[in-house]
Amino acid sequence: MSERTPEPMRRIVAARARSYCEYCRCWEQFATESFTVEHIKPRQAGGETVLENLAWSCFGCNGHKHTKTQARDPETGEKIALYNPRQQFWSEHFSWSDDFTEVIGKTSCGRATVEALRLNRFGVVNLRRLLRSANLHPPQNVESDK
Amino acid sequence: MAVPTEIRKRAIALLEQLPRESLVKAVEFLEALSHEALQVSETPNPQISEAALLQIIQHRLSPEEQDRLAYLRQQNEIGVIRDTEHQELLMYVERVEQQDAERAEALIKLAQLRQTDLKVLINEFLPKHSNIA
Repeated sequence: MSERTPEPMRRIVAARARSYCEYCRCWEQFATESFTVEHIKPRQAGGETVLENLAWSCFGCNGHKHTKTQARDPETGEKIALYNPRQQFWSEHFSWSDDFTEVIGKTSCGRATVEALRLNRFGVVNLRRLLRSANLHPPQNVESDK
Repeated sequence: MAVPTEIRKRAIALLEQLPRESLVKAVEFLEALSHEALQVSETPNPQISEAALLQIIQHRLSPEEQDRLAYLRQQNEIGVIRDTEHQELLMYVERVEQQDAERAEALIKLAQLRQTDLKVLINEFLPKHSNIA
């Protein structure tokens, strides 16, 4: 349980995500802290270190997700499984606000994930605004990863 | 006088106490403030020197803080982090992400000042992450 994900596997996960966080869609290029391999189903809950259970995640999303697998939809109060980048498409559950600075949850799963992972964290929203002004946001062509 | 992180925490705490109907008004107000802040930051300031921008771009956590953060991240990744350590990690998240945004802003301004492609400066100043295949 307490072993680091092997380096070759980390490289595959990063390349599969094209170096974007699979939750908040931040680009690793602008992060001083390297992104991390996220166990979608946490190891403590029996999640295995296999490609089907791994996502590429920024430092912040990984920290906020921690061992969570479910969260409440703020609209309905219902407990919902968090977004799974290996089994679901990002654009089915999330969209961008009109100015592209905030992630909007389109479904129960999306709304619960936005809240649980705090996808609109202060620094991340600021970064999106700046990158938008430089035509570097939102990311393009990253929807194919499932 | 309260430090900025304390003020932010206070603001978040107040927001969390608001009933849903007031929350909509609060968000509208915050969006207006945010828009104002953006306009201020977009106003060209000829007095911003290259040295000042470089200072922001090159600012990093102290070696001790970086070591501590590396430890916390490792504990989190291998699934043995304690609750108090996890809270400490989240405080680093807030701080590092805000610094990353400030660094990006400084890079964009420096690119304008030097009339250089932003990608050239990214390659020059931002870390190359070894995990990128």
